Amino acid sequence: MRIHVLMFIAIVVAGCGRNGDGGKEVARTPSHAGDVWEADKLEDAAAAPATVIAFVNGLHVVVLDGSDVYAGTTRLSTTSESGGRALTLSNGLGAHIVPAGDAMELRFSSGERMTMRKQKRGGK
Amino acid sequence: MTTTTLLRHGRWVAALALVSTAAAPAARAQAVGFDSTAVAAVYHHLTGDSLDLRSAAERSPAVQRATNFDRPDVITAETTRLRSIVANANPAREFVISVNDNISEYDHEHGEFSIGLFQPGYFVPMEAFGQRYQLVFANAENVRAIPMDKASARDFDARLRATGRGVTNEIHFTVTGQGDPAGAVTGEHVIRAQVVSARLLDRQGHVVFTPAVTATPTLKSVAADAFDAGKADIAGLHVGVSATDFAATLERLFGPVKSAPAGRNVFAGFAGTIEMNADGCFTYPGRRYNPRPGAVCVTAYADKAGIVRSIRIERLFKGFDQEVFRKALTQKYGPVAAARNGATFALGWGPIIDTALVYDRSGPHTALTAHYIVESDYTLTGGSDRNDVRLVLNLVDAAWAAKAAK
Repeated sequence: MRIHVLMFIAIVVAGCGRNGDGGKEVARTPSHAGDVWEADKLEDAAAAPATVIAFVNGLHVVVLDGSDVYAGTTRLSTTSESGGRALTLSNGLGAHIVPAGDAMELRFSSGERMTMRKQKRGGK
Repeated sequence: MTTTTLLRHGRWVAALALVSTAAAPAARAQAVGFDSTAVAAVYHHLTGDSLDLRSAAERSPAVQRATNFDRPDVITAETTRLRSIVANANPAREFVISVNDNISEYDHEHGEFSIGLFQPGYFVPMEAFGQRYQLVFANAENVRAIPMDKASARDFDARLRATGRGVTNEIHFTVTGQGDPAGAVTGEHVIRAQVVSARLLDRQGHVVFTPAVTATPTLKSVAADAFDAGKADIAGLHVGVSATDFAATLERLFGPVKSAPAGRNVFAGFAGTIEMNADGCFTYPGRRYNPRPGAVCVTAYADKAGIVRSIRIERLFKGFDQEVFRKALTQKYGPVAAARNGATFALGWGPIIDTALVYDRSGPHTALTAHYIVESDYTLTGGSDRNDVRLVLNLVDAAWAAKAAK
């Protein structure tokens, strides 16, 4: 009986898809919950470095749903920090998403920053 | 006196690396301490990169000086000596090299000057065992900058102008492995080194600046763990997820998705495709409605069980410094395993995969590749009116592919 309980727990933990990177796991993006935010497509030269880093890390288009950020099939846990949400990326790189009027500002710990706007697409 | 040259991406640049007995104290110290054969020996000892000892012996001065009668015996003796040098090389040995370097103009945005040799793509060429080597510094980015407030920078800049911005860069380093972790220097015999300490000297030997040296903990930690394509993601997207979940994710984030059976000319293990704006990132010269920066395209392949095994995501950008992309990639994925450089470049991580699965057959042929591609369009007068860059990330579940190919 105890073995079965342990096996069940093991299966549940494995099913969560944790990949060993703190605050990060494989997940399907929710179909309706939260809002889709995307890098400003005007992409002025000053924002290009931040947009490139965001693209590499999947933050160029995300769903923000409460304290979770969905970047592709990755769910990132965030913590509340300075009026925004802080998240940890790979190898010590961090990011901070801060409200800026109708938009959001994505600030990387390496200094780059860019504007994100709520996606306008038929009913999504 | 030995003279070497500082190169970037295979092109000549102005600075010369001098290994000499010139008057400057640093140069004298270097002449005593630097031994390119010892550096190369540590490299071969550490990496196992093959070395044709007999050929190296045949090119050695001892053999060149020998008479025809004595040459076979001298070759044998020299081969034995070189083998002993490599076998007994000490990886902990610290070397010193002095390089004629230069310091950039002041970067007002970042409040810093940059040291020429420590910028991406620069290396010090050297010769040993009768062949050429490229010496790159893995932690160059950590010692590249000379941060300075504007007031101090004005005086510093005046000193630099007086010497044509030239300095002697005295570098203490150890050899740590093979290849440029940033993938900017490619070719045979790329020696990876770690700067232990450095100082910049003027022509009189006075210290101009001493960089604060830090190791490369980020790259080291990644190198310690083997790259796992099954766990890696590209732009947040993973292989190994169900095609249904993958399609739903694309639909939510980007827009309409098309799912269809895989075509005939794809890898045999693929059964279906999932596409989002698949052809919407290509620029066709002269076409009226070419894609604009911000366009995103995704193509993925699933196996018979409906599991995603290969993903390609592309995004179009206005032109930007390619080093931004390179830095973001090495920050995320660690040292580059393979690279192809040029106006467009590609970097690779992970194991080699079947060529039917790679994005670009000219390489790299690794499980994960990243491509920087300049897109050109043309005006009626023949000039290009675009400066767009298409970034492509391609990831293949290498472990699955190896089984599927059997």
